[in-house]
Amino acid sequence: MRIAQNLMAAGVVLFSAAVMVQAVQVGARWVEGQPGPGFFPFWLGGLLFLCGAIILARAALAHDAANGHFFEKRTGMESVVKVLLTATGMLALTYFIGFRTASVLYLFVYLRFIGKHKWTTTIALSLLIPITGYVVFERILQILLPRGIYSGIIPLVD
Amino acid sequence: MWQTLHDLSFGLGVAVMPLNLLAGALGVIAGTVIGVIPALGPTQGAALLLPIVFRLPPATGLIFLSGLYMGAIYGGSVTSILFNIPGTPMAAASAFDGYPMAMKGEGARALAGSSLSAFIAGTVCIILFTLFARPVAEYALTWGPPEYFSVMIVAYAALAGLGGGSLVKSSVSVLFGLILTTIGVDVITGMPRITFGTYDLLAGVKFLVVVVGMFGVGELLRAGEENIMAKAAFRAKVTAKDIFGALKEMAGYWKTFLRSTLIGFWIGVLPGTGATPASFVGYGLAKQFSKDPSKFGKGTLEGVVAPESASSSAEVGSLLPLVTLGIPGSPTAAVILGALLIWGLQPGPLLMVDKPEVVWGFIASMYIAAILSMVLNLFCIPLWTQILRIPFTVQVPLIMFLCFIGGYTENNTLFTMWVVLVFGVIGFLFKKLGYPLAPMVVAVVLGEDTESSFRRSLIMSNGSPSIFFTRPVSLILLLLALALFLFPLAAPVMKKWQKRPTPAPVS
Repeated sequence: MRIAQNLMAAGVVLFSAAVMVQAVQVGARWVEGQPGPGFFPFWLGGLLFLCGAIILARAALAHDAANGHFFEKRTGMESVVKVLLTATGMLALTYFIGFRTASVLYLFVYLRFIGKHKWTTTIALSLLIPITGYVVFERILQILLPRGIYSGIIPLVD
Repeated sequence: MWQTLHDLSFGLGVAVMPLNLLAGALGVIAGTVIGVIPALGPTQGAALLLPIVFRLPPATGLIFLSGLYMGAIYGGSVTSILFNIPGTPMAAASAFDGYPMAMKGEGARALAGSSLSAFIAGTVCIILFTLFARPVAEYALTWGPPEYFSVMIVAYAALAGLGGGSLVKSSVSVLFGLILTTIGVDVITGMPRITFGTYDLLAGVKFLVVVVGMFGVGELLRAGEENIMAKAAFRAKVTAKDIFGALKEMAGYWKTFLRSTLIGFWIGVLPGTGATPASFVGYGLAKQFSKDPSKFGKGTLEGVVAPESASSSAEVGSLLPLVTLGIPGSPTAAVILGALLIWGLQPGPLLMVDKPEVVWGFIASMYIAAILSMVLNLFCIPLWTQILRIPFTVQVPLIMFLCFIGGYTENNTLFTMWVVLVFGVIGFLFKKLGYPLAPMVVAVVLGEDTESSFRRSLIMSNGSPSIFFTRPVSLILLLLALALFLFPLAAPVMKKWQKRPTPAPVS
């Protein structure tokens, strides 16, 4: 837990430093009678840097703080990784086969192999949800969901 | 005064015409469904349905929109309280205590309390609206950028106290949110900035994407770890007993209720701010003024009453500058402004004179929509509990699917779907490591206005920050902000000091 806290604070420090550097690049000073575009982000970044540094310094000085593990159970980490990996996989697939087909595959894989649902439930839901989504979002609300580079080229991929 | 009452009754007459009533009811149903879907809130709902709505006559279309608006707000609170997934951002604060209540088996009471307080606060504010429309708007008109900047600082300071323990972590949350809004093209100079070398970030990181990611995906990850999603077990029906029980308990919280209502109304009136910051400020103040702040977050009805009444009040309040000045008080009010413009109606003092049936019909329909959505919400709860029976492993891919689409609607690029996922991870880490999410969400909403009022103030003063301290209203607001920020530090000291005079108990 303590390592995670320190990593997070270090991340805050790095992020704020990156923001400050970029703010300086676009002009963080007084330009042509007004504050430059980087003025506000620069000072915000400075304050954030300070906050991150305080958290790090406190962690270095305190000895009793933040016991325990980041993940309390091993299964906890497993399920977080599963949720994350499948979602990442779906977005990566969207580039190739488009959102509709990717969501069918995503639902199928998640329901069958992680949810361990029956084949019938799996197939029904992994078709029903994307089709309802298609009707509601693309047909009624006119939001065109992303297509992939193979959409319409490979049969059944759309 | 009599003129106002006359106008309002005229508006009610317009709103209860059968066609308009039907439009209102349809709006409420559509709105509730949209509100329940985590990715869609009233703003997105109103924006998405605009192409259909503006084919209706203006009075009917506006009533549909206000039904949609109210329905979405109520629907958002339902998922917020039952699943800890705010269906709408303004319902996020209701989850702080509503969800623990649902976990304790008091979900029905929480929902009844939430509907009732939103409804009563809305009623109070409609009365306030009709009475103070002009004077309040005229006073706000005298404000310059420094006052706007200072009032936003008040909001952040009040929120920092809400974070509970660490002031530093709350500050990180606020600053991170503010920095996110500076990403992309600078509105004032047109320069791209803080894009981390990518073209995709030129369009900026939008509020919707952050909220869907942090609350939607972030919550899935957290729930995935603990497998808690479907644990909320409670009675399936809201009975008359729940409603009266909640009413009775709420009577004891009248101070909280009144404070939230008045502050919510005022926050709503301020341009650019809306129900979301109002609900967080309402919750934060209720906690700070409470005799027993530790009960908050563990499931007290007061923690539901405070944000719900504040956000409902802000919704009504945000219509005040819209109707009287043509300035939207909230993002949704901005969409409604867009609709009015499509109909060829220019909101402002003139509209009240020229088309009273539109203005007062709209205000009256807000009221009718509130009644409709309260009824729908209270008596359709068995329907929502069916959603709870869906196994967790079906909920995960379903909600993920909706979150991706919700983020995508922001600017129709695949990149925003990745951003949703990234903010899911950030939200998960924030929550695990004790960084509060609420201050960041508010900072993301108000960030652009904060920066522009800050820069305009500095342009006015030629670069001298003293402008914030020399203008009396701004100075008072900043002192208030300082007091609110330091309150958590001062509170334990004050308690000790109060205890000192009492003699030690003799045992």
